[in-house]
Amino acid sequence: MVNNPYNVLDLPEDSSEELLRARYEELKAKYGEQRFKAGEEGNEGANKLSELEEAWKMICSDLERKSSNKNFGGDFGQIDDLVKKGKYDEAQAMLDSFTERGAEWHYLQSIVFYKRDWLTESRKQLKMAVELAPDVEKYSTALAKLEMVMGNPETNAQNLGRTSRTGSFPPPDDGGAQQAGNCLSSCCMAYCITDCCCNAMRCCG
Amino acid sequence: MPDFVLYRSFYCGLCKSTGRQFGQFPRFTTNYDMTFFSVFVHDCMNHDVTIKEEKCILNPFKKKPVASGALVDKVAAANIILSYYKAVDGCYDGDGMKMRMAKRMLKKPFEKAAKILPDVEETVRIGYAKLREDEKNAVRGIDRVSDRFASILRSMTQSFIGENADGYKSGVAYNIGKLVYLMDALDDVGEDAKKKRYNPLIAEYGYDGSREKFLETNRDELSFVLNSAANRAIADFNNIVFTQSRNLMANILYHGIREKIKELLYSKKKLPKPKI
Repeated sequence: MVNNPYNVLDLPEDSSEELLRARYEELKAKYGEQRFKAGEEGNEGANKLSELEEAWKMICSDLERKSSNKNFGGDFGQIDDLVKKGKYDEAQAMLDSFTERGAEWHYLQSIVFYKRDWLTESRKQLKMAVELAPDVEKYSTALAKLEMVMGNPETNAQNLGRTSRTGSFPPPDDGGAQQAGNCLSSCCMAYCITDCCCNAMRCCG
Repeated sequence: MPDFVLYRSFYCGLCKSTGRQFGQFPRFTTNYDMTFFSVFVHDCMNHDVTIKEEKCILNPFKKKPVASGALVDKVAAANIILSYYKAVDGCYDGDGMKMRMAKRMLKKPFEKAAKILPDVEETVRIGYAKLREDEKNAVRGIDRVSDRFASILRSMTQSFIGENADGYKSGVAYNIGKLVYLMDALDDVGEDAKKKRYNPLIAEYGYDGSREKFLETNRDELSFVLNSAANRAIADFNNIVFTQSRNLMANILYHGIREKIKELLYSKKKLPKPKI
């Protein structure tokens, strides 16, 4: 059982990833060789190797956690902010660094794709969001609007793009979702689609 | 002047300018996509054209209105550059005699056009090189692959209209470029499959043995892919104030393109070239 993984590597906790990795590789090679020796020395080598691998796993998780906290403290609101400011490259970079990719992640990714006019990819992401969280209305609504409006050859062409961005659109019906959720659903995808069309009824009906 | 006649006068203008600047052979590169581009940039820049009745190489007995001007000449040069690199790209694919001949015959005109529009030459050259990389790596992802050509059109438009460029105009150029690339790909899907050439639609969706089967299996997807790009172009277009040819362009975007998409989605074989 490893108590302090950094002691195993004999390095301070705030060492750089490069240094930690280099030390790991060094020790791995050393113990790897040692474990093939006869008797007690061989056993010790095997134990040390096992301990080293356990410590390394712990260090890797630690590094990942630190890097996520450094970048955005797990807050999707920052990505939303970047999208609103038109900083799509930065938003994409932030999205890329997330290791956990749930429905909300796919939803945000679909928005970034939409803003870049990559509508087919946007739709793919929305479908994934819906698949992961079929009961969350905003995902299925956004997907339906994307297909009904932007993917539709019969959409009233004259009305496309005409809505002002501050125009009214149905407020999110999340029933008390957090700030971030409300903000995203009301400002991002809904407005992306409705900025292209006054409302689905008028365009497709 | 009715819309269609105006459109055709731009087409003829492009052809005539090409002939005058680059010789008779390169006139075959004239096409309606570049004609739309010509109308678009003329309106964005608020440049006028002179319309004169002239005889046509294909219509020697009746004079037709032809639009001419400095900007038409520039568009003709840009078209030569695009056509040349398209032929070069085609040669890589082993497209055979036709592409090789086109490349050879366009070489000198291309060199002349490149001197007139060095920025455009650079944009198109780099764009096609990236496209080549994607094709070599059989990259999947419709948006990803078509982004290359779409970006070429967008950069080219920005190069033409300079400070008149804005998000909406770039958006129109980008999405039209994407449409042109994908519609060509859809038109060529049968031939590309037969000759085992790279086709972004085949890379994404696979190919079931016949064009008909391919269309049947993937029609809904393809409809979304093409119509979403068309609608995006329309949405951006609607936000631009045009003073010369708005009706003409609206007609093409709202109706012409949509009909072409519908035709492509149901066509049993490659579509014939549009008649002038």
